[in-house]
Amino acid sequence: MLDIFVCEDNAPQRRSVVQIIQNAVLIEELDMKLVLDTGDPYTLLEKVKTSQNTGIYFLDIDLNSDMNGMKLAQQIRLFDPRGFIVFITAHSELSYMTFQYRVEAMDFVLKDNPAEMKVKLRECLLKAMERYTLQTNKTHKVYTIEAGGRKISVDYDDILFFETSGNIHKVILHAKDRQIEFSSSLKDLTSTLDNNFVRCHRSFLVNKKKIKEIDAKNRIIHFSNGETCLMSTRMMKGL
Amino acid sequence: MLLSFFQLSLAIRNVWPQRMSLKRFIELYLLLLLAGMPVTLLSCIPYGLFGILAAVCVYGLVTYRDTAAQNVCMGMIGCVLTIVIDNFLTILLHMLIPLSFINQQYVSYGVRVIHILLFYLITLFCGRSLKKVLLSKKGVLRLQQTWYVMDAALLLLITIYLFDDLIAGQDGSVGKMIYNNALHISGYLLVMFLLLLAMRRSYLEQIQTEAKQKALRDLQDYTRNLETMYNGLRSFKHDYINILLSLSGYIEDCDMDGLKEFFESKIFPTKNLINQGDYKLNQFSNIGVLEIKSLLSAKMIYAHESGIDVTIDIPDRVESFLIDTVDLARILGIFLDNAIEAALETEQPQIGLNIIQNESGVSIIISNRFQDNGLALHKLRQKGFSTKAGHQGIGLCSAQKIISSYDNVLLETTMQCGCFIQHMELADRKE
Repeated sequence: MLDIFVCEDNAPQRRSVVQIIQNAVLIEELDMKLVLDTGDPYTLLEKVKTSQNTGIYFLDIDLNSDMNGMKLAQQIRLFDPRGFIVFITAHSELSYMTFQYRVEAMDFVLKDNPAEMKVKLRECLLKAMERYTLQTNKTHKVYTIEAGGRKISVDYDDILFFETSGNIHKVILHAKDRQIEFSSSLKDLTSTLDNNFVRCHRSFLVNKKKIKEIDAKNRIIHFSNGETCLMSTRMMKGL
Repeated sequence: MLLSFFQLSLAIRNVWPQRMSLKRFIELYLLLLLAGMPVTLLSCIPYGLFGILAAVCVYGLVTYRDTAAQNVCMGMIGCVLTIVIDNFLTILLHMLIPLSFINQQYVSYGVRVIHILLFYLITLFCGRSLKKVLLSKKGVLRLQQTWYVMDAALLLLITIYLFDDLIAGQDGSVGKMIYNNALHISGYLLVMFLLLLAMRRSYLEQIQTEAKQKALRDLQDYTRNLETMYNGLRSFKHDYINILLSLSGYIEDCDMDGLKEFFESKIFPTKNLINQGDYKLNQFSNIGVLEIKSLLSAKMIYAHESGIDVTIDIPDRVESFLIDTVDLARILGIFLDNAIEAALETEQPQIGLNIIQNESGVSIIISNRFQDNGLALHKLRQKGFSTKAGHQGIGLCSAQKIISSYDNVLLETTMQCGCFIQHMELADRKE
């Protein structure tokens, strides 16, 4: 069950947003209910503090209060770290990226086109539901990288391998469509990760589950996305 | 004979910038033999050495093209190292082991083996430490020019001593000879060192003036664009008053239908006018570093003029980017050029630039849409890979290299849903 919260200071607009959401929930038969719609961010925060369920939040950015949508979202994150936050705004010049970055906002809906807004809101509800069921059904092991106050989480299952970088203090994480170069060492990684990660070479640490084939003659490991890494005869036994 | 050539190749291998495979090592050995043998057999040893030196230089130039200058330099250092250490070891072993011992055959073989082992260990150690110092790529050592000068200096030093041999002492005494030579060599090295310093200084100055001039040019573009924006805004203000006047006309006549039509046909469309991306440029006022500001605005203006939908968001004031400005400008220039090129291939080109100041660092996110041709991400990083014909694919590779050299920079590259994102996290060093 997901709780829906709406915070929008303009009453007519709030009503129309609530209307769209309730219709969508009814038509799609989603396991959600509207808990609160308000114009005051503090009322919403009070409610969030006592709430047990994961929430989906639709927030306006200008709230006519000393707290704007961004600050509100940051507060909400403290109480509901896994909630879904969607911003509704007329500020098309702000970019979605900043919001996604700061509070892991799920989406960014523009008010200026009512028809488009309706479609977008429905999409958001569906997407939140989908993610929520995914989260609850599977428990993933996640590797978290911290740098400069930012946390990047990568599922163990998404990692293909780690590689040493040109800089001895850094390693490169290879995932399917993603590469991250960060400060760490293969030695540290080996001790923090689970048994599926095996050191196969001086400069590679591979995820055993992700190997497509091993070319023992040329000592090369192939991965599903076409990437390859080397292995040494001495460390081959671990595989 | 063969053995001393083996020692020479061993030393060169130990100081070589890259790891040398066995095959390459044998190649080097054969090459040295080929170059050195004939002349040495004719017993004009200095010229033999010269041939060897030439061979080392040629070998350095041919293998691993991109570090050719370093290779030559290290090769020559290897030669010098061989001569010095070999002589040193011979003398040392002679002093330690009594002469009568050496004449016995077993002992002499044993001494030979110990000699080579010690030689290997010492060169390995010297090579490691030299590599650490010289190949750290810090400061001037990063410039190719430095390496050229070092190559020339070493070559000169070695050839002088090959042809002139050593300077004899005036009265033929050994002490005087050592003194003279030491003076000569140290004087020579000192001059070279000063020359290097002077060169470094002028080079750095040149880079700085060039960067400043470029920044100035870009800044002029930026100002010009701001002026056009301001003029646009002024004309809009003017129109706005006219619109209000005509609205009031409809209202006074209580002509609701006319008002409705006028609103929908004339006023509502003006929202597009406001939403046109021009005024996003004012976001750059949040950047406190002039060079970066001018670079970013120049690239973004270019992107906008090429018809790309540009999104810029810099919500907080950014005073410092925590890494060297010239390096950052190079990285950003490469990333943005790539983003613009990739975006232009799509039907609805889009580029996003976000710079966010955190408590402990700065995040720079550059995103663009790209045409998904099933291209794998890992290919992009390789040197010499390019999606464009006639390009060398150096850009991204050198950007990665610069980023790698900083411990406090995290780079995340993602390619998802037709969107290519470069996310740089510049962290505060004091952590």
